[in-house]
Amino acid sequence: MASIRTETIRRLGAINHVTVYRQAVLAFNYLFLGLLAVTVVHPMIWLLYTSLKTGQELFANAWALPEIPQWENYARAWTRANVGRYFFNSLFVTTVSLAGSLLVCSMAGYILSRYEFRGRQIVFFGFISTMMIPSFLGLIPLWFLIRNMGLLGTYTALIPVYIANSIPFSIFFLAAFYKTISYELEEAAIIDGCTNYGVFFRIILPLTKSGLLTIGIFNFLGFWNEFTTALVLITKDVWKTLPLGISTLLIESKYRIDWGALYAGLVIALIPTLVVYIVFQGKLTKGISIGALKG
Amino acid sequence: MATILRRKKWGIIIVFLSPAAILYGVLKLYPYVRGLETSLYRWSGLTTTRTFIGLGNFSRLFNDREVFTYLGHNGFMFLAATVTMILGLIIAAILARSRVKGKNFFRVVFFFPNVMSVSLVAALWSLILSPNFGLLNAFLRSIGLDSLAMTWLGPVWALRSVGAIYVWAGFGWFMLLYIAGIQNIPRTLYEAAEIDGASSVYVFFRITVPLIWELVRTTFVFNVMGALNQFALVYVIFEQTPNPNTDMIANYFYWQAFTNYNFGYAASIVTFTFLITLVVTILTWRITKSQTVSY
Repeated sequence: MASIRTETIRRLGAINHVTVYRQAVLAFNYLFLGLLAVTVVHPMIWLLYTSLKTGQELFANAWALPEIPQWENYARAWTRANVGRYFFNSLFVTTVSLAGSLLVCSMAGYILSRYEFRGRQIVFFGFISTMMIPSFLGLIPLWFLIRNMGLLGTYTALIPVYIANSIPFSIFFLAAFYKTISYELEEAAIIDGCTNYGVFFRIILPLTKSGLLTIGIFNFLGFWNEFTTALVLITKDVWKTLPLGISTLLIESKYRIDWGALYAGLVIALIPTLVVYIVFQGKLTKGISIGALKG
Repeated sequence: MATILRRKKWGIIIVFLSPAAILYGVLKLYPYVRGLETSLYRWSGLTTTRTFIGLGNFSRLFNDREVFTYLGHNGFMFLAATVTMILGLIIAAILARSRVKGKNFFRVVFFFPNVMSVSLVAALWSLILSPNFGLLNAFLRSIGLDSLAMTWLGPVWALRSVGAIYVWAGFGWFMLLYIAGIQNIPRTLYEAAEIDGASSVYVFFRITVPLIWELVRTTFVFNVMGALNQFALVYVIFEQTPNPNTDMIANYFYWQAFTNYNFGYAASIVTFTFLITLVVTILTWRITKSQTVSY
């Protein structure tokens, strides 16, 4: 949008201190943004090409490019360093938790936002009130609970825990989304003989696809990246999720002196996040922005 | 909310709310309540007996020098979070209003670090900041600034490095929220300012900031919570070992709970942190109160 003032000045052919000022600000903006973008992008690029170096090249010059790409680093990271194992653990836990979370939260959110009943406000508030409490508060009792159930050490217990973790925000988000659907639709369906369940599954749910997608992406990332609860509940290496695995990898590379595999492992961990982000970043950023303005 | 015709609603209400209620009650509410209760006991996790000692844990806590050292580190992270917020604000102001090209590109790039898991961010920067083989020092040495090549993760610089990493990983989130907020400001206000010849700096401080102040206040509160919840970044960077230079209060909690098995004391640390969070949150909310600007 050309400003009225600068346009007028330009047409009159005069150079004005205002135009110079604006040019300077623009130049500064580009420089600032550019430098910042470099600090974000360059570490990733460095990670990528360093993962293709031999051990010696790594120690020789951090800045230089590899001579011959060492794709074996990736094979070793996947198998010997267990990154493949960690990857599949995370994939399993994340997808199952996501499915569970979408189901549980869409059902609960629907009732809480579109049904009238006594105690509705209290229940709703109860669900979202713990959003602000740090998860550390419940960590010890949770550890005990899972241990008593005999599920300590594997990732199985993570699934219900992750679903439970997602409840406050997901219900909060979905409830707002559900409110935007017109009630006449439901009423018409009921008059036509549709059951309550039918109304939900056949009419409401298809209409909320967009909201479910947004909260789904959000939760996917949350589950995929979760660290602390997994740390406490998983004890054996073979059950670790990717974030835990990365931490283990960082430590163990010292003993194995296989730095190439470490860098490769990190790239392997980076790729799914990058892919999901690039594909869904539109929906994700839009969802966050909308959430911000509502809250 | 419209009251619509519903057949026998309690069936579906119970069915749809139960899964969420059960998961949430058992895996979130119960642990939180038990967590608070545990702080009143002396309890070694290795045995099943625990002795009630009332506020004994808390008196030990107040005399524990380490608690306050680590809370100081959290305080530093709060400063880092504030810097993150300001950086996000400046970038949002630029991206929302300036005439730079490629705004979408910058927005997508800047938000990406937020989407990476803490563990991955920690591992990546642990490698970048490595004194002899890391990217940063290699870069500094290559341009002749050898004297600036520090041990970034050593005793002197560790905390500041952690703060910087936090800024790097966090500013994108604030940027997104503020962009949404700024885009909500009516264009007419900005146009009027331009006609009057206002500089962009003036516009920023006199129009943009006051009009999104409510949003800024909310994110400031999130800052408080974020700073007091710090755990994983330090844990992973320093290879899952206690580090008195950078450990946060949550790290101390972790060592007490899962290395020393002092469950009661650990629980009291978390309870104390939770109380501090509440107080500081309420305080910051009050302090940042300002008259609503209407237009």
